[in-house]
Amino acid sequence: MQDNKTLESPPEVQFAGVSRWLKENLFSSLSSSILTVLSIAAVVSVFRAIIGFFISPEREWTAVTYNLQLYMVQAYPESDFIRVWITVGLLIFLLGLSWGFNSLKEKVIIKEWCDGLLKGISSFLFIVLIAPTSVDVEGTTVEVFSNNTRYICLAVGVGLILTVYLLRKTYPKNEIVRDRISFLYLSLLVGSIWIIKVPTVTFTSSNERVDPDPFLPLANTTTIPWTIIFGFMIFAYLIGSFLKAKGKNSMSRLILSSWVLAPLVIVSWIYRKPDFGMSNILTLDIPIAVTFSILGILAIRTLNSEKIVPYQRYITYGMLVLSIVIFFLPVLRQLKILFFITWLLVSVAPTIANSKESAKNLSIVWSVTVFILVLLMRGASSESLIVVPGSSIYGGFTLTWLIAFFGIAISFPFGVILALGRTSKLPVIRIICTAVIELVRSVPFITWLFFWKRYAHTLST
Amino acid sequence: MSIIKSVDVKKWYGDFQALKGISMDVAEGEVLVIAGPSGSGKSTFIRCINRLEQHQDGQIFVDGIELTNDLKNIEAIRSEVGMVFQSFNLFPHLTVLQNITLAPIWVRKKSKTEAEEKAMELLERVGIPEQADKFPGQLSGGQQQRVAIARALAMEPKIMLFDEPTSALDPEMIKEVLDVMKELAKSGMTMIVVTHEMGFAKEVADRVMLFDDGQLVEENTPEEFFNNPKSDRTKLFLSQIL
Amino acid sequence: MKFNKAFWRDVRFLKWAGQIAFLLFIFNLISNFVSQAIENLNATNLPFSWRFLGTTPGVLISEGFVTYPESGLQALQVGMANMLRIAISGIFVATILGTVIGVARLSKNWVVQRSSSGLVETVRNIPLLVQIFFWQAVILSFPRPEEIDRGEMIFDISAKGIAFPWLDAQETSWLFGVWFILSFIAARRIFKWRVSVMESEGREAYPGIASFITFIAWNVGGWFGGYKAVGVIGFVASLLSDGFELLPRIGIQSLIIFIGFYYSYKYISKEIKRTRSAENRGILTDDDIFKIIMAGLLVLILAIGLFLPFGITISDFLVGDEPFFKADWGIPQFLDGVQNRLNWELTGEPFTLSYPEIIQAGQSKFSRYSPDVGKVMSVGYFATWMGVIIYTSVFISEVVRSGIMAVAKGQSEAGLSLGLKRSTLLRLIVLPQALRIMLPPMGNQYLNLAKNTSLGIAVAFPEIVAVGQTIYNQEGQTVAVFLIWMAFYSTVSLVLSSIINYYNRKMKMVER
Repeated sequence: MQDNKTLESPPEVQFAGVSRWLKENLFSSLSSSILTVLSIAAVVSVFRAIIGFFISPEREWTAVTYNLQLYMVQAYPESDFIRVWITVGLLIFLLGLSWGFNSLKEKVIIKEWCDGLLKGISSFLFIVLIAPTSVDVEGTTVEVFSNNTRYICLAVGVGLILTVYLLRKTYPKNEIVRDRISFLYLSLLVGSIWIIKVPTVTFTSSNERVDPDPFLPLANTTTIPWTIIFGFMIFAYLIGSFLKAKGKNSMSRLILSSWVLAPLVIVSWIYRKPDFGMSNILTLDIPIAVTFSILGILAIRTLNSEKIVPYQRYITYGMLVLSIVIFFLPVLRQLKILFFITWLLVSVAPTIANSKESAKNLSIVWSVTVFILVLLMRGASSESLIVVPGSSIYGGFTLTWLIAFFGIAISFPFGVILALGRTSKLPVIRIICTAVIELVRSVPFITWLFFWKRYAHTLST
Repeated sequence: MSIIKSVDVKKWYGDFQALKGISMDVAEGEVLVIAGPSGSGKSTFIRCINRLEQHQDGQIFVDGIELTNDLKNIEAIRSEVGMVFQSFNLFPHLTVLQNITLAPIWVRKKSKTEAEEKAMELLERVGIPEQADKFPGQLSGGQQQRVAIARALAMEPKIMLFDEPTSALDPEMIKEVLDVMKELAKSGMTMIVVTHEMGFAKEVADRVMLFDDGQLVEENTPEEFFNNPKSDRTKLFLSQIL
Repeated sequence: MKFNKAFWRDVRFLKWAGQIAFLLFIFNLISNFVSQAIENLNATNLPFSWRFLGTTPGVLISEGFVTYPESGLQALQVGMANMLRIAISGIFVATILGTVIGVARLSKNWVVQRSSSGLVETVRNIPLLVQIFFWQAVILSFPRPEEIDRGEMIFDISAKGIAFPWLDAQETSWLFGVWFILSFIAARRIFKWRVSVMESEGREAYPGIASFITFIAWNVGGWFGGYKAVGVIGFVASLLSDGFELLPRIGIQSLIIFIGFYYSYKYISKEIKRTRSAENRGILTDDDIFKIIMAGLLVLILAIGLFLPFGITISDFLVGDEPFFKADWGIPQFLDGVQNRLNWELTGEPFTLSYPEIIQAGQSKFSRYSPDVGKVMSVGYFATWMGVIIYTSVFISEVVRSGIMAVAKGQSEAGLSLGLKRSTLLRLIVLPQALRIMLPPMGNQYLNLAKNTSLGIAVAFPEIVAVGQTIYNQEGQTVAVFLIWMAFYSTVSLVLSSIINYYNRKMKMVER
């Protein structure tokens, strides 16, 4: 008897139906019904207005499609576009790698996935249905969304709904890994750039603009790299999953440091095309790096020997003084920074490298760091071979993500320092930090923008 | 004449069935203790009695009125049924006195002075008249729960529901709350108490019920319940709790 | 204080030495920074000066209470007024709109709930600048005003802005304005009185209706001459003004300094008392000493700065080579103004209604709205206003929603189990608690709104940043303009946050 009762399902579910749902969620009372009607009317009219606004020929969307290259990289020379693609490829490769490595391999029930898809497609159908046929452009009516297009869109939408519905019916309980769905979406996206046609501005032989703007497929220089990069991404994803399956957990640190390193490498080597000079690297950088890595390894070894232990503190202080002195001497910039890093190593080595194993690890990390640093500095300090007329080589979306990355990287530690200062027990430090915080945040961002611009301007004159 | 009557009450949360057909009745002036493991539906059931939860099947009658979706019935029943919660739920922005007088003024439409006199009387009864002008945040857990009892009593209810009133309290405070409840039981109030305090059940209950897995497993007098239980489930429960 | 012999190991010594070193470092940093800038300015033949505040800048400001400002100071004041216009009206409207959206997101009605969630998710993920440009594009997509001399209109939208009727202030509008503010106080009094009647006698006393009737009756009475009662304030002001005339200027300065000294004395003694009441009786912490020194220094600077003859160098530093701060702080002028505006001998209707008209713009064939009649919301004003309102209101809606949701479910259950009606429950239990939770984040949103008005520069709305930029492009006084910007925005933030803090303290729940 008990078992029978547990199998009983709730009455709502038993008698659930469209009418009941409507009654409960839309027409539960008179005021609710009025609200429903009014808000549907408002939503429909606002949507119509907004869609009409955006698809009106007044908006000149060709300005976007035609200048897309400008939006992405500004005036970066086309002959060196391979560097841009390498940048994108590197970042997306890393993305795929960490995705594969960190994926939870979550499973989605096909039924639920289909429910989500159905919602998405019906929203699309809703927009297609209410989109205005024509808009008013300076007094004249212009057709922007012909009924033929609408019927085609509707047919496609209904077709999709039927397909999804069938899928939902056929495999209601089956599960699918979420990542595969994401790859499906991405491959649809990549596939679409082969098919899609965008309005482009073209000129006749006599340099007159062709009107109306013709729809042309995307250039091969866009479609092919993206397809290859997508392939790379899947490849990286598979590598990531493989490494995870092998239980290589130390990879997570490597991936993280690659993420930190990638923008630096991009800025110093890939995007700039530095005129580094092989001889510089061979005669200057490699000897310096070798010297410092040997120095560091020796320091790690000796600092933990029993004789040295009582003098550790004095060595650290001495190293600090030395690095400050060298900072003000007219030597290579590489040396100045390397001495500071060595001071850091000397001050942390006794606590980190307290066993043979950890000393070995620290030595490896140190050598790699020194080599990478030296090479990065070489790239960053060499002349760039890329010439961009009248502006910096970074522009458009490139500049956006670079500023975002370096902004976050720099402002985060600075913010932590200010926060610690504000909670400090020492009144001078606390008051200064509080004053800085309150002053900076009470003044609008655009004012600071002008401020630094003008300040840089006064310094340069 | 039973003051509360429930017939085959069922309740679901999504696909999970919390109540699987509860039928019972409570006579006027009776003290009923409901025991059971957590998740057995006992709290859900007493929350159904003043419709803080809606039952989806079956019927509940309180003082002869059936609980339906009719707002007027619900409000009428709620003002007849006092409830005390596990987490007190005092209004933190009002003083103790305002907490108690709020409902008499706004629901019973009593005058302020009258409500305050009654409130002071109730505070005397629960033993904390000196705390009248403090805020709930300034009181200990036991004192807060006593204020909550006074607040429920201020509406002069016919029935009092207690939803694990001592579970959130430190051991030394449990006694002061239980003393108030015992005094209340002796005064002839109809009470339904969900609790794990078996000593209280032994001492004052007229009847004890055991809930398990959304069902009423055993219904008995306290003597029989503790000394000579009918079902094996009760024996298991008692062996775990005592 | 007695130091150890080895003072370099003494914690107290190290603490102070470190702090002084830090102070010197910061001071050095700032002075390097400033001197570098000043040096460069001097090299460009534009030494730092406040003089531009007094001279006519020769710029045209497209809207504001003055369009051809007489002085740099006035131009900046127009910018400030324009910014405050948007900020204050924006805060008001965004609060109402945000509350509506927030409550709509909690609605049980599916359409209402979904459409408001959709709105919030869309708007808050689009940068404000883009939204301001969107609203500008919306209004610019309307046709230009075509017909000239169409006569009076009630409402008109065109690419030139939105025109609507407006109340024109008359002589007696100040009197009526004060009367209008008083009407709120009266209505509130009546409301409280009726509530107390309701509570003490236990019968329905209609507080809402009673206060509304009072409000209407008070203002109708005021419109037809009742405002004359406000003239009493003007009379008192005239008496005070006469009193000030009798005082020599030095007397006023002494008074101000005396007040400054008195308040710093009170502040310091309060600080000392506060520390005394604790266990460590009479021992001042480093913090207290620092605060006391700061307060003392401030009063000292105030005292020297105000006695111009003695502190000529400091006053020079503060106000530059042409002092524009009046030594009497404009108190007599202010009192005279009050006396003239709140004069009970004035008669007539406080406001008249004027309708917008389209006129010819100069000799050109273009048309525009007449600036003299009705009110025109310019394109820049509309775009900035709509942008900040819509953008802020979705954030406010989140604050409202989370505030209401943060009131524990148990609270409404307790209220319901006592038999309270849903409306009463909302008014007496949920809202008072939700408001307490909402207040601090709401204050942050208001601050954001005030700051975001500066984006009006993108659509050529002449608020303080835009005007300031115009002025320093003209006069080259970048540093001075930046200082004014910072002072202005800091003041606005400070005022807003002290209002919020005041209410926050007042409504704070008592805890053990």
